[in-house]
Amino acid sequence: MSRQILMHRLGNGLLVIGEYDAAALSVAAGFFVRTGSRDERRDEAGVSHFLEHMVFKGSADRSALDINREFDEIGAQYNAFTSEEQTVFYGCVLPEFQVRLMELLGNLLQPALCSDEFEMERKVILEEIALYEDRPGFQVSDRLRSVFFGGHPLGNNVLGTVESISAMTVDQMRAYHQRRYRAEGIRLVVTGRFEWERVLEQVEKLTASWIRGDAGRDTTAPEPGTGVWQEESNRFQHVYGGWMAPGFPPMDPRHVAAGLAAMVLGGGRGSRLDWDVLRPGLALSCGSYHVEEDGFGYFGGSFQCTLDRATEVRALIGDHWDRFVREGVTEDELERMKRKAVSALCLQGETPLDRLTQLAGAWEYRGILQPLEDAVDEVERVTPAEVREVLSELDCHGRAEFVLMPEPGARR
Amino acid sequence: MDHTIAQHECGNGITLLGDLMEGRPVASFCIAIPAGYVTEPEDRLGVTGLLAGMMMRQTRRRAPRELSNSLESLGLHRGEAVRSETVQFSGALPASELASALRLYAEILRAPLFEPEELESERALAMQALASLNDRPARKVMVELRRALITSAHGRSPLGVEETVSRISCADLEREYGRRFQPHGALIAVAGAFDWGVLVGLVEELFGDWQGVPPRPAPVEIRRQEYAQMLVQETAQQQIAVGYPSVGLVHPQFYPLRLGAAVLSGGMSSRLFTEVRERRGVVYSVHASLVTLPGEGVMLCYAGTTPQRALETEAVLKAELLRMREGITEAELERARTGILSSLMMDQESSLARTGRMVADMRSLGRVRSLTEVYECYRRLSVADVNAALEAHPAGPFTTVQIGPEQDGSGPGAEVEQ
Repeated sequence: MSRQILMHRLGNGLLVIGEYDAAALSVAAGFFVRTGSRDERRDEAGVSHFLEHMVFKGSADRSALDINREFDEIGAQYNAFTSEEQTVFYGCVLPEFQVRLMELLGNLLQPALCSDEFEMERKVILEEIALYEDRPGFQVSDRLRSVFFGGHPLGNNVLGTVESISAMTVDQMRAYHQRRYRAEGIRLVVTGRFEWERVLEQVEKLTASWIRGDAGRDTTAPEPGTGVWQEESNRFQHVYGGWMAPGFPPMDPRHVAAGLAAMVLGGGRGSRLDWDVLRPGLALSCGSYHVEEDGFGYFGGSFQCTLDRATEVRALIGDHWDRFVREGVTEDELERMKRKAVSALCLQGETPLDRLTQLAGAWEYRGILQPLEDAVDEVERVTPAEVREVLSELDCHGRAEFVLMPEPGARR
Repeated sequence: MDHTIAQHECGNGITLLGDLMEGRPVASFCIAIPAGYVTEPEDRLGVTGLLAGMMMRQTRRRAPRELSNSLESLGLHRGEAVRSETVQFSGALPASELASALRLYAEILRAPLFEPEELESERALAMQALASLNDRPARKVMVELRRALITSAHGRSPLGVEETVSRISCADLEREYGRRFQPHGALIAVAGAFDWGVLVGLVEELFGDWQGVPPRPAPVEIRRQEYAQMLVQETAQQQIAVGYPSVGLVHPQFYPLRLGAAVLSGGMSSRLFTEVRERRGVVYSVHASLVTLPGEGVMLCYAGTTPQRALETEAVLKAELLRMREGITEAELERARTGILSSLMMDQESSLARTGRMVADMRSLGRVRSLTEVYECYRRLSVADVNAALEAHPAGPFTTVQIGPEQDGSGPGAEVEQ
């Protein structure tokens, strides 16, 4: 597959990364803003995500309805999302609409933040918070992060709370935007079939007025918590749980081996947790993974089961984790998971929109421009000895566990 | 823009479809067996899901560990979906492993082994999946809407019901497998880099001597009177689902009505998003889609809101559905058309999406439409065409299902037929 990676830094400090693919049928573009809930002050909880919504609610020369209408006029598949450390605005169109897509995305990042729209969108955010209250898995991961990270900003919740959103003012949001949306803290990534020179020329003009500099970030490493936290809920019938343990940050090359090891433990079909927990029907879901964040990495997992199985399932996960850290993985297990990991990479790399995320991730977290072939290579090189070594080097393998239990007799 | 879809008919009623994507490292396949849940016996609802799960556990030739290792070592990403008229076995993997995967699937489909111990595990999963629906009210409300709106077996949930799932035996599995997992009418769709001649030879070798015809599904029936149902449950948001009859892919007004559905709920400038979320802020999530069933179609709509805004939300949602009858504008039509045609083109980039499209077309039309044909069907329509279709097929009568906390006037589990 012939794809060409390109990079250029504009005069204002904005970095543009491209991967041209002559065989693609579309062009995808995304602005990756290095800001999220971990960059929020205590009194602005949820502002990153609220701002992500407000970005679509009008700019200097477009109303909210104009923005929605124009994206639809070019048939864009577009959206935005906010995490603990990123806010991303992206879209994908047929190549003939490249210029209009860039124009729209570029324009969005300088929102008008008008107070009428702010009040209307506050209601939508409160509805979104209510929506996630009905999703037990989300409740668990949110609470788990907060106990694992303790007071560290990585434990900040993305949505904020009913209280913080209700109290937020548009001035606070304006100040946050000024502080965080700075050209050197933003990356534009373009993939698929595009005209590179045209992208650069257009974006240079579009972003000329953006505030320069980089907002920076406090990347002090967290001191992860260990222990078991438990809560009861009258909303759910099943038991939902999650766990986290320290792993390897993205700049540490050992994170690749750690990712594969986590797949052997609980990366879906054929994994150890699949054989011992899922296939026997002890739990409806049970898996594990390794996640890299800015300056930090962790192993994590989650499960869902009935109340009468919860003790057994939790004990099995605990035993497997201990054995995993102690003994590592076998050659067979590793080979199978490597094959799955490679085909997942290739499958996700099929479309420009998916490739956007892969490319941006490698740059944001590791500062490298990584062709798909290199990502595949990296996985293929991992050996069982390396996995054993990686696991033996874990400073501490205590886990933080959070369990949401049904309140006895609360609901049928 | 167009490329040819290769097609080969096996003598036993299996159709092989191939969409060549040269140079792609990944290939995808979808094997659709005409054994969907509509032909399940009333007293064995949910048996098809158990069958599909059991078939992936072991075969007569391979014990569980061996089958799993064989599948996993191909780098295969797979999924099984029980649909109304088909069970679909899909996968994506390195193109070089496609033939090995098809060999394994031939064994899975033709030589399953049902053992009591494995059945108990599979049943435990199925029972948990059923119970889990209560913990996911947004999903549950759509399951209940389908059940209320589509009154034939097509409205069933693929999960079955606890009462029947709890008593399915290995003998039931054997019987249902023998009766319904038959090759006549099955589809094998492949997209990616392959040699067509080799593929045809392989499919003939693996499946050519499989013989049998599955039972015919009864026709689809849709409720055509107003109906309302309120399910009481402690939830943060009230889940509102509304459905009504529309038309299927074979209907002459399908394309104009599909465009109408995109005006209603395509992109973010669509009417529902604009009126319910952007102008009123009463929801985070609101959407509607035209869902096609064999020979028929229904509109399924959803809105989730906090209980105190439920009445307003339901009223605005239904008002927008009814307003479609008054017609759409030229600008709305253009946006809807661009959106549909762009997605159609972008779906071509994914091999898995291509197999899905081939199977859907064959099931609905008995042939795969070319991209040019689909483009033309949308391109030639004017505002007048769309408006005529919307007037001839106005929204309603509404089937409404809601899930939410108890409020004045709604007793626990109250069902009110209007």
